Amino acid sequence: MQAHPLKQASLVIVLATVFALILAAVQLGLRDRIAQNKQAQTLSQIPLLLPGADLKKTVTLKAALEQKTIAIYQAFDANDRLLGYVVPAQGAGFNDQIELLIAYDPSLQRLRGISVISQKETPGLGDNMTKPAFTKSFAGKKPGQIHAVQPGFAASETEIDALSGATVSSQSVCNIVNRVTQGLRLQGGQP
Amino acid sequence: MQEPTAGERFLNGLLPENPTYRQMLGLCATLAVTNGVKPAFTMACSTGFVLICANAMISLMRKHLQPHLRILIFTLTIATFVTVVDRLLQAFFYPMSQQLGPYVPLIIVNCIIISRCEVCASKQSLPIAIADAVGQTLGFLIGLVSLASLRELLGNGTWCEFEILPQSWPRWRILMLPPGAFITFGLTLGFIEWFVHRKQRA
Amino acid sequence: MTQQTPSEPLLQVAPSPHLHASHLSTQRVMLDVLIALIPVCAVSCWVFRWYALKQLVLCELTALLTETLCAALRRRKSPVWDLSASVTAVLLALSLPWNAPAYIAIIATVVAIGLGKAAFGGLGFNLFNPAMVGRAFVMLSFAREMGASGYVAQVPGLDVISQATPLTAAKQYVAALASGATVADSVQTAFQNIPPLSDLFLGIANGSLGETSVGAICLGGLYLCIRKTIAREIPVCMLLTAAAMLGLMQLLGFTDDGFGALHHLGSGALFLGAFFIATDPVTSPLTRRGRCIFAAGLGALICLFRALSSYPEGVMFAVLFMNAMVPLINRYTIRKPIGGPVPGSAASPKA
Repeated sequence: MQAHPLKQASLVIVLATVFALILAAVQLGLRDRIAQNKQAQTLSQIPLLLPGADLKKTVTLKAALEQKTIAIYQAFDANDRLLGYVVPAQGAGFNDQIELLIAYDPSLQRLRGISVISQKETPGLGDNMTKPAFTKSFAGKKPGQIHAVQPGFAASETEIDALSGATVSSQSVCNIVNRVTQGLRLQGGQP
Repeated sequence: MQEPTAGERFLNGLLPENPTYRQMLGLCATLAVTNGVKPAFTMACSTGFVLICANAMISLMRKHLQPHLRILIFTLTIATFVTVVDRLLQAFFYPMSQQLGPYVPLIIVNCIIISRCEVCASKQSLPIAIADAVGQTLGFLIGLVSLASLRELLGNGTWCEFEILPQSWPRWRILMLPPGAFITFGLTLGFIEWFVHRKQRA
Repeated sequence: MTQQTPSEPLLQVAPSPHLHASHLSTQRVMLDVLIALIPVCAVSCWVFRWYALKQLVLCELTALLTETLCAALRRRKSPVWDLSASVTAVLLALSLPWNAPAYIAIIATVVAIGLGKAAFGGLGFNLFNPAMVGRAFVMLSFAREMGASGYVAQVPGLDVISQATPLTAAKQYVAALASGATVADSVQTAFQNIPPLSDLFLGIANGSLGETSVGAICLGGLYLCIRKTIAREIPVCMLLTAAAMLGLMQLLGFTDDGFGALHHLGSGALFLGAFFIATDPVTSPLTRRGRCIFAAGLGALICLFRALSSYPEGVMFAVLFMNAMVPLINRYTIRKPIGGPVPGSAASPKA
């Protein structure tokens, strides 16, 4: 004998309701913490990119870049002197999306460095992009037309030593930097 | 055949019915996260949490399960606990949750959990279901950490991110890449089969 | 009625085949391949000196040891005398960079014999070409030593190796041009120093040990073709497809004029792959039509990898990829019995 469908499903309905309540509670309880984590991951990089930056004085600006609104961080030191800008960026790498933070000097004409937030490049080759030897090599370079050259041959201020002979991962990073820089310049130089 | 006791079920999970090496379940996660001991450990613990909670829950509800709706209820229960784990990881182990990426939500489709719900928890009392789940969890942990140890040590020279091998030792990078997961798993599986058969013959 | 003892049957019954072609024993085939590899090894030792000899000896010794060890694990007699391990070792050594450290040669050989062959159940059961499995393993593991920079060094008396390999130089030049930026001086110089076609034929160029001399490879390949040791349609189809693809790519402007289709054909492991690696009887299809498809696929894939991937050369990955396709090709090109299946019978395929 078949029971009424609603009666059969009563356990499912009760469970679904209970679980929905549990999940809502978990989400409410942890939401702020998770958002904070995401923010902290970006903010913790700023003093590394722009030494002397005071996190408490960092101003978050909103800018429209490539049809998206992104947060740009304006970093000041303890004496309220403008140190530069930090811009989050992402683009295609060799294997997967690369996420970067790009630090500019106050005039937006020179790079101060980059920081790789997430990447899945080839272990042993491309994944060395997270190391300071590579990220620091962007300091002082002129963004917009930088490109990767054979390791050890970077001479001008638009050349970066590649991580390996096949310059794909390194060039991907350069392309992201160039693209974001051009996007920023379209805004009129100053965000 | 006599029903195994809680203790036997617990021990079965460790090696005789090891989820990784003997049942070969949950291989997607196994292959994907064993390129480091830390992610493997986190993955095993997360899966274990979901497994134990889901098993306990299903065991408590076993008298009310409708045969044709049981899979729906299993999935509902598992999905809820997976979401809880995912949120907890993001809140308290943010970098690790970033590293594991989609593999935490994918615990929902991990066959170990639904098979234990179906085979054990939906038929057995609470203590037996929990003992079974704990045994399977530890078995999964053994499987993941043993694979991850091999891959991380040979592939990166480290264990749990501690430098073990000297810098002069060549790193077998392929073991850190997806093909390395298949190669390591295949060879380890072959070795364990050989070991088990040798014991049976003796 | 005479009583027959079970040990002496009245009639000898054995499964087919009853004809035995002694000139086609594994040992004889492998010996032929080894003979054909002599010119390649000789040129390699002439161009790269002791570096070539070192790799050859190291790979050979490791291969024999591994083969014996794997056989001992399975309580079998060592099959080193079928010479297949020796062929694998020589091919592997010839595919390594001259400068690869000893541990790379050893690991590659152990993986080739142990993982590429023994793990599948020994010769005849392996899905992938053992030498290429070994090379892929070290290529992915030790990308720096096996990559472009692994080929270049300054050694007095050995001018060949001071320049990038022709394919690497061309790849970087084309990539630099495509990126729209100014071409760095080092890339420019390397591109201008690519050896002329005559040097590529003789083997006076940088590259993996055995791939540099088209002439020596053709000599050995010709011997194999005349002896009918290898299926001739494989090198023919593979080289023709590659030539057609490269010609097309030159017309479409994928390659630079300074490094055209002929240069592409003459450099890298294309010829070595066509005559010695793709023709492995175990890992190539069974039927002639199948082998043609296999070889054409190889030629096309190599050109695609060279043009579009981040690696300068694509023979290894193309061979491994097409090896994986062999069971499918075999199934697709299965020969119909004369007359074909009876129409309407259960065996006839549904159209």
